[in-house]
Amino acid sequence: MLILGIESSCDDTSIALVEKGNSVLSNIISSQIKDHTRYGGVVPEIAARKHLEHILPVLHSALDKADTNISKIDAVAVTHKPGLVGSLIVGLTAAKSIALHLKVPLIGINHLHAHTYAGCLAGLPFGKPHLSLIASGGHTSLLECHRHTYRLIGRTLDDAAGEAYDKIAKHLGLGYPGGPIIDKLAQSGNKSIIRFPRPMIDHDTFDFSFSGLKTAVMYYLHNNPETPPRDLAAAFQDAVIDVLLTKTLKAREHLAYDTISVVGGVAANSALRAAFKESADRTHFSLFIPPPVLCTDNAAMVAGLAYHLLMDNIVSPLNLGVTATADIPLK
Amino acid sequence: MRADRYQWVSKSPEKTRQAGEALAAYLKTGDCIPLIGDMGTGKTTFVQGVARGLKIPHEQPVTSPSFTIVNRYFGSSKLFHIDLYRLDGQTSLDDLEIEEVLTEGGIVFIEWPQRILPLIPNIALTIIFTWNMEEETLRTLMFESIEPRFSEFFERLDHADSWD
Repeated sequence: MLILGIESSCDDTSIALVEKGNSVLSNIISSQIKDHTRYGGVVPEIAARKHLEHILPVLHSALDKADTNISKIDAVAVTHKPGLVGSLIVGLTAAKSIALHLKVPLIGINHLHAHTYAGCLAGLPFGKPHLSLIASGGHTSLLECHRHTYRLIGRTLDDAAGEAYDKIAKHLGLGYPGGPIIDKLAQSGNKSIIRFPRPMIDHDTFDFSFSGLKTAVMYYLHNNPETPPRDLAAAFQDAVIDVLLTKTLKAREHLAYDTISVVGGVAANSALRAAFKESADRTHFSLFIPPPVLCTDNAAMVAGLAYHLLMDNIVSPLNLGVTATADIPLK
Repeated sequence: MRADRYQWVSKSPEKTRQAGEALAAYLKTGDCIPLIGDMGTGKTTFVQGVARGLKIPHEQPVTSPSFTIVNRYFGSSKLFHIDLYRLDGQTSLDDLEIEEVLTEGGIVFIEWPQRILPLIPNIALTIIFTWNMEEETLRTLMFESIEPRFSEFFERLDHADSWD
């Protein structure tokens, strides 16, 4: 059972071919393509127009890499919410055209559900009830995940965790994207120079807030302009990780889960991975964190999840639409 | 016509939200409100208050649009929250379809609007947010408009300290 997955909810156009939900034959992401000449100078872009330029080259690349032909696929899966509407439409339109032409089922996928499935690509058995922390540039959410049932139990009320990284990095003049830069810088920094606030850490909901932390870092830098950026990076990162870990553990305890997955672009952060691993070893829960390439937006997670939907006869009509916001019911 | 300017000091994020909530009653469909100010000065916090005033359901929390560029909310009016922070000089505004959003019939708040100010057909009100470096929780909001309909709002802000 070979499924073609398409992901275009934000900056990256990605297409993957996945066999039986777990064997990733190819997973091409536009921003990773090094051969810019073939694609006319690819730079990750927000625009729908860029997805339109990328989608065919990425499709051909994905088929080539998987050494297959498009007529061999059994279904097409596509992210249709949440995301940038214009970007989603490009992926959805391509998916519909392929499904219609090849007369194969179309499977619409929720981007957040797909992110949690990246945990399954890292060994978490699909359908095993678990708690998933999704932390990226656009989302910071805690989800209870069962087979086809998800429950959002917490989310950011202002900035996403990855967004806080990007903004702090930009403020320190470190460049974009902020996550990998701050991660690297923090490794040589002293995180105990200052204890930044941990917003909402003691709050009795599982919601997050990172806007105030961003402001605190900026004030500290203003008042202590000589602070080495590596120390600021380390202290800031320590606060972010402390909040993410503490809230997730609190939810795990409260809801009695023995399995946690950590996914989304921020899950590629080395210090976050280490902190969760240390906690899992100490307090005995099963932890699944995908390799970095499956943490950030990718189509393998889309095609992988779609296999299980298809097995349970959950397919989408050809008049499927896109939605900017997620509609996971809250509480 | 002479532009009305009104300066107000917010003492907390919640006061900033309350000001946004109070402003909602004076807004109408098609209004564009550029929000100018550094990161962390309360622009998104202000829009969270406007959303409260426009009866946007709690299920749609107003979060930062820096990543998504445009967030849409549906309450008693449509609320569009745009943030052009992430854009560099290379991005073509045509690619973003911002002009479509501006004319879609909602109330539009725009953070980091500098690059599209010339495209905005109808600026109802401009708000400039600044830090107060001495006191971490204080922010100065400078409102500027050539439309007289906001004068009552400014008068209400004079009494903001006594709001709950």
